[in-house]
Amino acid sequence: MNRIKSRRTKLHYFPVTPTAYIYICTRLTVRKSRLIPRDQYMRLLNMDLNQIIRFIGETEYQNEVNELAGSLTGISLIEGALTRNFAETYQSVISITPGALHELTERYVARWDIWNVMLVLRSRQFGIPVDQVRQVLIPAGWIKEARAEFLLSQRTLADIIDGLKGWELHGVLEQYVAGGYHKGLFAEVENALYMSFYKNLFRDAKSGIRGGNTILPYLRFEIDITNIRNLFRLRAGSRINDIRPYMIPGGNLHPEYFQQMYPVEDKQQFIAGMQQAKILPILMEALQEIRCDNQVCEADAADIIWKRWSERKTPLFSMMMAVTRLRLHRLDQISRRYPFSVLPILSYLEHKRYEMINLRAIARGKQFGLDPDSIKRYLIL
Amino acid sequence: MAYQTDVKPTRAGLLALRSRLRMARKAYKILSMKLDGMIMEVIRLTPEVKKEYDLLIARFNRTRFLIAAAYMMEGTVGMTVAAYSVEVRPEIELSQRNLFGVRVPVITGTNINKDVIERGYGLLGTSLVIDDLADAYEDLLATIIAYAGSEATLKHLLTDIERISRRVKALEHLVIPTLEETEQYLSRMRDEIEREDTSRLFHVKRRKEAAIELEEERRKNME
Repeated sequence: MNRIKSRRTKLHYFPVTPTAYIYICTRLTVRKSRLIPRDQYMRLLNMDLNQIIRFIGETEYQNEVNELAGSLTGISLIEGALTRNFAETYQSVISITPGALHELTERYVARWDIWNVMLVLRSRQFGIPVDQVRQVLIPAGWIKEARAEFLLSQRTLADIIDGLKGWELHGVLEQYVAGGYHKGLFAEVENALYMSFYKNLFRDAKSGIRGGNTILPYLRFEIDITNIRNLFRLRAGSRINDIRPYMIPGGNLHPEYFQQMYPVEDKQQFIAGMQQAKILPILMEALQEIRCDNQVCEADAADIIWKRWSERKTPLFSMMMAVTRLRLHRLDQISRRYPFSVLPILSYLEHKRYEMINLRAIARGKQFGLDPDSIKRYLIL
Repeated sequence: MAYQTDVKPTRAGLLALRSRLRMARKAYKILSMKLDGMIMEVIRLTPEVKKEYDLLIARFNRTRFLIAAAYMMEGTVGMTVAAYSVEVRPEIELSQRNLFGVRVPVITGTNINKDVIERGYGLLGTSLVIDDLADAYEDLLATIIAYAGSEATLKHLLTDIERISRRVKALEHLVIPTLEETEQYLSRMRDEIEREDTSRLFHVKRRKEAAIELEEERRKNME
């Protein structure tokens, strides 16, 4: 633990000069402009799988497509190339960010570490073949390919956790897994890791980094959205009474608020609660976008969301997609306002992530034989 | 109409035949009642099974739709992670129950519908579509189990109806008429035998009387 602390302290006080900010932000803004633009997606929607492979093979994904073309074909080639390129891009962003920015970026991409760690732990416990796991690992964060290989070669859960010494969430992991495996452990660990992930991100954002304060409202917004989503999910699919352990603290809305909302059965009370959460304008915008109609008002959004709530169903995922688009849009807005801060970095990382998601959605949609209009609904543009 | 030729035209044979006929009629009555009962049960079950089948198809289509959506939103990576998280596997138990003497299977499943927090995946790291897909598959599995049980019951009943109706028809059109014919034949035969006996005795008596008369005449002549 001491070693991690010293490493972190050292990085915190590593001076990030204004020139470094300008350098990195400009570089990433240029990279962002090289991402696939909207009109290209429209072209992609009308292609078949082989044309899509050819198309991405002529863009940023050329190397990955060439490398994998020998062993994979069709949809798995596309997905493999996308994932690999995604991991490599994240790694390269981490490597070019200086000082404290480096640390924040690494922390921001730690969600992929959580992903990989959980995957490795589960594969070890349930005896899933290493080859299958290797295909779905995304070494985009602190855990690089070599370390992922090392973790995969470990024989027990304790060995895997020992192999993760130096990872910022190692302490949390150790605390939970120390008692050995029991049913439901991995879900608990995963939740705890994500909680700590947000906690660390908040601490770093408040540490005086440039753009740190501006990122806080964005992070709070993200946490609120995640919490509201999970509130609906728990209501739709669970019988537990206390939902506080599943709510991420740190958002604009306190976990207590969600606990109070959870058993609400009265429409007025529910809508009042949603108004208090200031979620209705967001849902209204989302609905406007889905229906391509600006006449949609808050009452319509409230009606739809109340209907889902009263029927104990999860919100429509088209609604969630619209909210994600809105979230990305907000990030763009604030990153334009602070062009030389941590925001352009995060904005690029998120845009890259959604580029992968969009390309994958198009390819998968084509594979399932959906028409272009249906696929378009799954894109985050 | 055919009749049985292997029965001896004796009183004992006739009695045995009559008891067989009685038994056949009784069996016919019982089997046709059973057949009616089974047909009624099939008529009652068919709409239910049809409803279950329609539900199964609807749920299957929903999972097809959701799996496409989930693959589009989460990709192989997200789907595989969610799939690897499964800790509790659904189990199926098979038992049997008696329906009109037909052994039909009863299929029950445990751990089918699970609470969202018991599915094994973390709530914070997965998205809505995984929940929806898992729900859809759980519902599909529950419907498959229900449908499999009902369909197997229906199939068993139909096979048995075919078997029993063949038997009932055989009793109705072959066994009972044959036995009746045989009984009539035997009765006629026994009457014939009786008549033959009577006439034989009559002739014997006549011959004996003739012999006696002849004897008496000879004696008279001797005297």
